[in-house]
Amino acid sequence: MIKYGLILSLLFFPLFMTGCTGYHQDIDQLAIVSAMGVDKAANGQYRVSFQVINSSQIASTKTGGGGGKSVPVVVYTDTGKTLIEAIRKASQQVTKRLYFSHQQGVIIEEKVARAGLKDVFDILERNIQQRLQLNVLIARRGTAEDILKVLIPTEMLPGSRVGEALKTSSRVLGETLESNVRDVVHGLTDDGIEPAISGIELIGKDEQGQSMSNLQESRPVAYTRINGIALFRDGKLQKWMEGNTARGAVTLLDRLKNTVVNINCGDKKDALAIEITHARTKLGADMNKGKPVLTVQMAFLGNVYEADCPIQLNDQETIDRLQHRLEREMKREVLSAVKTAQKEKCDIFGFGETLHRSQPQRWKTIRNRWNPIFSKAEVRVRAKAIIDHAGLRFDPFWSSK
Amino acid sequence: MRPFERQKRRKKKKGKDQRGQVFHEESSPLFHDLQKNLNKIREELGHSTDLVVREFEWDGERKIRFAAVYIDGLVDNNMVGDFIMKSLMLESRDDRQTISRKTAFDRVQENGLAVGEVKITRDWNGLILSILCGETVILMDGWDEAISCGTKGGEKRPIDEPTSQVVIRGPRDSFTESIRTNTALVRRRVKSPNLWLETMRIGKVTQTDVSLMYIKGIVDEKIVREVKNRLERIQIDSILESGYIEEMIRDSAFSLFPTLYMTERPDVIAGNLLEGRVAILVDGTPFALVVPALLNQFFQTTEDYYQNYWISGFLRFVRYGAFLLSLLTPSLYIAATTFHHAMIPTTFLITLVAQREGIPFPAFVEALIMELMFEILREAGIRLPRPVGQAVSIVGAIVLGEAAVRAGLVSPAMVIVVAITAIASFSAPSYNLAITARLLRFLFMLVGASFGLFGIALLLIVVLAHLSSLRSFGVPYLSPLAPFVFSDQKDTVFRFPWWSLITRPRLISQKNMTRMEKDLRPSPPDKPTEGEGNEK
Repeated sequence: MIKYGLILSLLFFPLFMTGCTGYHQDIDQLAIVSAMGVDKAANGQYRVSFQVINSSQIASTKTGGGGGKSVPVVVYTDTGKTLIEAIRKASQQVTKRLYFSHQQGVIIEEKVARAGLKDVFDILERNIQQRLQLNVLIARRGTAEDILKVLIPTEMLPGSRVGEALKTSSRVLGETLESNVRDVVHGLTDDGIEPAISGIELIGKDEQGQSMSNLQESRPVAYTRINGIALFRDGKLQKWMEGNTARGAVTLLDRLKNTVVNINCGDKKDALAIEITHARTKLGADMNKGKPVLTVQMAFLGNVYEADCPIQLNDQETIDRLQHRLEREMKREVLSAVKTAQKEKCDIFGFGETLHRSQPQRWKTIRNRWNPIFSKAEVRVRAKAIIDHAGLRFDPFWSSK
Repeated sequence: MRPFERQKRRKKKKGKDQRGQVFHEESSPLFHDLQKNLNKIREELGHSTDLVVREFEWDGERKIRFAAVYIDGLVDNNMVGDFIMKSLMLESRDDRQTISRKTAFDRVQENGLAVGEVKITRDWNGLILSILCGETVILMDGWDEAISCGTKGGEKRPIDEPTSQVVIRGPRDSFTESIRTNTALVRRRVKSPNLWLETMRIGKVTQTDVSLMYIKGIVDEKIVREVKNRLERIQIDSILESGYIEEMIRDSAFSLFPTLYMTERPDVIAGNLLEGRVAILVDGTPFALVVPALLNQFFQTTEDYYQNYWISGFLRFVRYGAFLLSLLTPSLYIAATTFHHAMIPTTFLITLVAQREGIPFPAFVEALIMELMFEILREAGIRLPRPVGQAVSIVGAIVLGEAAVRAGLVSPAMVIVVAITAIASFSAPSYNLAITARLLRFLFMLVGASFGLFGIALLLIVVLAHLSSLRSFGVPYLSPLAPFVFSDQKDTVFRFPWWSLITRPRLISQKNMTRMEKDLRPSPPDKPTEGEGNEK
């Protein structure tokens, strides 16, 4: 009996412990934040916007009950000297408690990014409600607040658009980067590497994009687009990379999942599309007579996706030629990315980190001068490409006899 | 303190007054006079109307008076009529003249009764008991001895299909209320001279037969001795069901977990006896007890051994999972919705939030209402006559599910949670353990609502600690998992094919471990026999 009494009384000890107890909250008292935006207000303070999910609206459209009567999300905005001040001040507007754990992304205005990211990211890393896997984007055109306010008909959760769209475009096109809070903090803190963050831009009239009327257009008057990669130095945004250069940067970071590369086919320019299905990149850095040498080794596996020229794809020599061209094209892209980064003295690829790992003693002597050293370094790129098949047929249907 | 003490003392006194019971502490011998004896019997039994006293006499050299005494309904009427009355009346009609009064008694005992079981009773307690057990007692004038004949009989329920442990493949007979039928059902399955049966009477008033069954040579003698000791300790007025015995002899008096296995299937008893367990059969109930009972036993069904072993192993997994579901689902739901919102997938969280909007109660109260409603419904369904019970379950399903959600009292998700819990608890093969889960569930809900997953984890640890402290007749309750017995894993969570179940459970049988020969795995013959080869 005493034993059971003891066990029971033991059960009550946790009452006096700190822990999750303070976070007791029924879910219907939560305002789920789907995305957050950070802008610079006119007076130099932060202007923080939250996109809060209107759950009953979304749930009713999901079950097929008459949706579209009210907006799926509500955006609240407030200003403060620190982010948390703005967040807490926003409680004057929101009836429920803001809940950040289910955030899909955080959007930072370019102005803020140019001034420096370090202050913004402290709270994103410190707060237990924030997740380190949270996607980060830089608002290129338009403020973060405007981007959060845009409603798109096919996506009932505009906040998730931030994360999902970034994921999709990164995995299909390969010109953008899925960078999350952890990556950015890593880039901000570690020596020899700088963060790189993708951009998001608002296209069209933002005023109309905020209202329900945008949901009734087949071509929305306002929409957003994920585009470009921002280069940082010392936590401050320096330059944007776009298109093939951006893809080169993604390749260098070994984050290329899938992409399509156009190469010349005989005389016809860019007439042959190769899909790269696997890509692997290894970086190396060495000091040669006081001058750094950066080496890049790449390997690709691809297949012919589209051929708009008469070509014999069942011939191994042709394939060899195509592989060669693919290697050349990828080298060109990667070199252009490295050149851009070198010009801006932004080592977003982590060559410095590689050097640090391979030669820690030498790294100590140059770590403070790394950015200028990096910008003058010699770059050697080697690539190996394999094209393993050509889809469901060899020749284009119109060229076969 | 004072009033309490006084009360206690008074109680004691009362106990002393009632001590007499039916049977006298000291038994007195019978009288010589027949009439006196018969009067005393009538008196002892309170002139009960079902007592039959049939007097008759032999008219020989001197008249010899007899009486047959039995209780109507307890005896087999045909037997009494054909083999006792008839033979007593007709037997030795021809040479009655020569029978003296002195030889009459022996004559009757040895030749006069055409029944198998005959014994001599000399004292009143024995006499009354034999009458009450359904024996026919023959008294003779001038003798202070009585002959009791085994004429037990009367109406019995026929052997029926089991209702609490139904199988698809397997025998369809189940125990009845008659202990003799039950022991016979087991003996029919185990035709071994080593199947031993020991019977004792427990219950001062009810004098219930309680039988111990085990297979000598397989069973651990220590366990048999322990069971006997515990049974002999019982001093109670009545045993009406095996549940009385279960609560009197279990290892931990307060535990929620059953440490005796209960079954109404003779094949289960036979299987358990062959594993070295001891069965306790109680007269008057179809439910027999098996000791020692281990936790994993409550997740097994007899069908596991009859059907394909792959499906048996899979189903055991399902049952363990279902037990955890029925124990934890509501508490996990409460914990997730009140503390750990981050754990719920975003899209589901949005749906949940939308559902919970407008529900007046916090999740815990909501869950408590629904679970209690469900328990009430279940109780109502059991108690009511079958046709009405079905109606109740339909009404209940509609009320609980549709109407409660429409009325905004509970959220649809909560209905699903309760439904999952209910279905999971129905899937438990052992009713005993399902009851445990039913009760513990509420404790888990309370803890989940107060401390979240942290509390649930703590309570799980407490339950686990309790389980590992339990023993069933000396065998650790969690074995063969804790302590881990490698060789017994073949029949714990999985059920390996029969040809690999070579040994019996180690901690239970302790000796005579081998169940079968090795290398019994069936396989096609290595070479075609010569005859076949020639045919080619």
